[in-house]
Amino acid sequence: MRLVAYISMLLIIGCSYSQAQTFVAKVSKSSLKVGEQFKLQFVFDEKGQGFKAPDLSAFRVYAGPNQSSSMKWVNGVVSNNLSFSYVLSPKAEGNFEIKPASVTFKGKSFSSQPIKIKVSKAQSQSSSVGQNQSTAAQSAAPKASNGMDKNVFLRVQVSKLKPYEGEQVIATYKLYYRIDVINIEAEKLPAFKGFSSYDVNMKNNNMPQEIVNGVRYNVAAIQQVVLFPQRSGELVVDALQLKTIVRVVSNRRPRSVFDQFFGSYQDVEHLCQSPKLKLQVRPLPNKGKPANFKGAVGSYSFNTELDKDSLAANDAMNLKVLIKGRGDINLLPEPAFKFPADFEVYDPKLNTSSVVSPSGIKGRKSFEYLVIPRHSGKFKIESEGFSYFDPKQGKYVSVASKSYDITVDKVEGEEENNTFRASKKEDIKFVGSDIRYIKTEKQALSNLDEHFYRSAFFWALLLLPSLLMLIAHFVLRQLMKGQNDIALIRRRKAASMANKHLAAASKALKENSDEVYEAISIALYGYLSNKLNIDTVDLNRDNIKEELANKQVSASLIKELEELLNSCDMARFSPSAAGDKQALFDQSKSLINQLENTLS
Amino acid sequence: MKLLVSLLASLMFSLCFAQDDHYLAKIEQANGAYAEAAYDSTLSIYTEVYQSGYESFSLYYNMANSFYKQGEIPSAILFYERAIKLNPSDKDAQFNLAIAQEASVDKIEKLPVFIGSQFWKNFRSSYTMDSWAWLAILFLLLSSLSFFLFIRAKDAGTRKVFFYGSIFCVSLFLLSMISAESAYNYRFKKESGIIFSPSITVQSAPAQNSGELFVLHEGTKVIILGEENTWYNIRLEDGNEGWVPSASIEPI
Repeated sequence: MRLVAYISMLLIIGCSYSQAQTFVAKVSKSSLKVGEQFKLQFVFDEKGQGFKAPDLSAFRVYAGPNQSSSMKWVNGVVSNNLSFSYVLSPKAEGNFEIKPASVTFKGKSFSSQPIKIKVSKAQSQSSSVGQNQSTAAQSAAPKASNGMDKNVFLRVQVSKLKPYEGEQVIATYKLYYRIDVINIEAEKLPAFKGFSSYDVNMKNNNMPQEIVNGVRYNVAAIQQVVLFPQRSGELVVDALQLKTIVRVVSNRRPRSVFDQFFGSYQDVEHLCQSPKLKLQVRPLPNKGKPANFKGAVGSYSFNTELDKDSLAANDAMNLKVLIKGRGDINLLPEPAFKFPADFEVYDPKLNTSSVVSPSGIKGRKSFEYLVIPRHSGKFKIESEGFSYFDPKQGKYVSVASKSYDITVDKVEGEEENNTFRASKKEDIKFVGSDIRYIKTEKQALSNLDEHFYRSAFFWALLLLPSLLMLIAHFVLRQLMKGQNDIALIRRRKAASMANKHLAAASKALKENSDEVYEAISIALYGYLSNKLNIDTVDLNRDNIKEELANKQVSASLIKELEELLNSCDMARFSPSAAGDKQALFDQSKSLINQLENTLS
Repeated sequence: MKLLVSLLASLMFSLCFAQDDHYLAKIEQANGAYAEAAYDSTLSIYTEVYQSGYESFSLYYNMANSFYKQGEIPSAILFYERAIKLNPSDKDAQFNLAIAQEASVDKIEKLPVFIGSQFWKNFRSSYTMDSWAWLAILFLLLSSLSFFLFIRAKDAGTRKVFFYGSIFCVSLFLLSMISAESAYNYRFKKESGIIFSPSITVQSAPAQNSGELFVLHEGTKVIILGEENTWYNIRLEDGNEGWVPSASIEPI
């Protein structure tokens, strides 16, 4: 028995697991009237993904898709559930089919079944006064006839038709009605392209009655917006579309006693649309535009505040700028400051508070700068001031701001701690190292402006060697010249000297004395000595021969001279052995003449 | 002539030493104060000597050390640079300068120095300016001598030797002169300076508010390219150029 129970249980579990996933579409009503709301739901019994909705263009979508998932744990069995739901209402009568939606689970795609919907023509529904108003909104009211525009209509009113760029314009959408309006539903909200817009939080929608075209209307402000045109030219204030349900007196026959008593009414849907309004936005004038104008329009007050103007390096100070006034506070530009380039300036802290009221936007914006000077010295924070365009006056207004002189002192600790100086740079090379000690050895001082190079002494020394060389050169040349002269003179005088000696010899010849030989010898040697520029003492046969050979004297002549000198010497030392004196004399004379001819 | 030269020289030296002695004693005294960490008085004595118109490598180096100890980094850097100008090869001065520069604010990427110019700088600084001057005189003397001998010599071989010897000596003389001149310019021309203003904005033209280029801080070395009224045209070691008021720079 127990076994059977187990098996059946297992079977049940197995069944539940093997059970195919289902994706079902459900509708709350399959037959309905135009404008009637119904609920469409797609349910999938697992955790699916990638839901694809069918085409619902034939319906007005009020809500959805709203996704919900649930997990159930029943008797140890887990079941998941995923659903997507819509609230829809058909737009027109006819037969519609809601096409299948699809979802994927574990890579498989599941589709729901199509659903057919039948929409019949809306019927005007009468209701009595006591009925709940909210049902009117839910159920579709019949469309109102054309004449309704005179009873209920929307208008937009702007505070200014030709504003300046950036000037605030207050647009008020007003509903004019002279019949009861039961419900209002925004059909299309304006987008306000080209404006920055701020909704006014209205406390009271009721406004005083107004007379339009001789008819008195109740007026309710539907929406009030503060607009700031962002560019010049033609800008359109968008239309507001409202779906109103108005109560009109029914012209049908009363159905009950209550109707008779209270009258029969009918709730009618009426679509109101405000006319589009064109604004001619004027550009800001170029004339008189301050250099520091950055687009602020409105009327403002400008204030700057510096918390201290004297501080130590690396300390922080605060510069606060406060702009108060009317205008587009949120878009107020950052005021320009010229901080010293060496200051560390952080992005300002912004603080904006504004109130949007029917008379426009009023508020304050503060910029708080944190400034840290990193080095000592005297600095100046210059402000370019603040300028705005005042559309009321139609001109630019500049508010000059103070410039601040700031004294930054050295950090005190820096001077005391001077034996160890941690390097401030990124890659530290000399951590904990100290400078090397001073030089204590004596070193000769030199005058700052005194230097040897380029001094007169230097130039003098530089010129000296060249000068010395020149002098030496000239002196030597002079000396050499002298030496050469002596040799020349000797050479020139050689012949005449020889003649002199020969004359002495001829005198001796006449006396027939033996001195002839000596005189001839002197004449010859003297001549040679003078002619060859060799001292008589140094003169000998060898160098005579050599010198004469050098001077290209013919060998025969040299030989003749040698013989002559030999015979002279012989005659001098043994006169008896000597030959004819006259012949010797003549020979000597002719030899000297020959030599003179060759040597000169 | 010789007599005159030696007389002149001895006169000069004696004059120098007569004045030196007084100040050398003072420096000795200051060095003692430095050892006792009385940097105030050390500095005042050094400054006195410096302001009397004297200089020496060790004076500048010691002054720089004292400035550094006093926390006056820009002055320390300035005097280290001046000391290095007088003796470019001193390792201590270079080491201390590097430490002082670490303590200054701006970190400037140095452009790589052209290897030839670095070689030339090293070569030039192997002798002082005056040594180069003396070398120039020596080489001119030698070249004159060999030229003289070249003229006088009768023998062709000897003449050749002296001729080339003379040309060789003339080129050495020219080299010495160029080195001396280069050292002179390095020493006396305002080629570079140290920023003394704690913070100074470099302008794009020699006028205030002409266009802010970058900010420099005290202790930064700049190369002075030119001068215009009260403005210096400067170049950083990373190659950037601009104008700063000349009051904010102390030339080295």
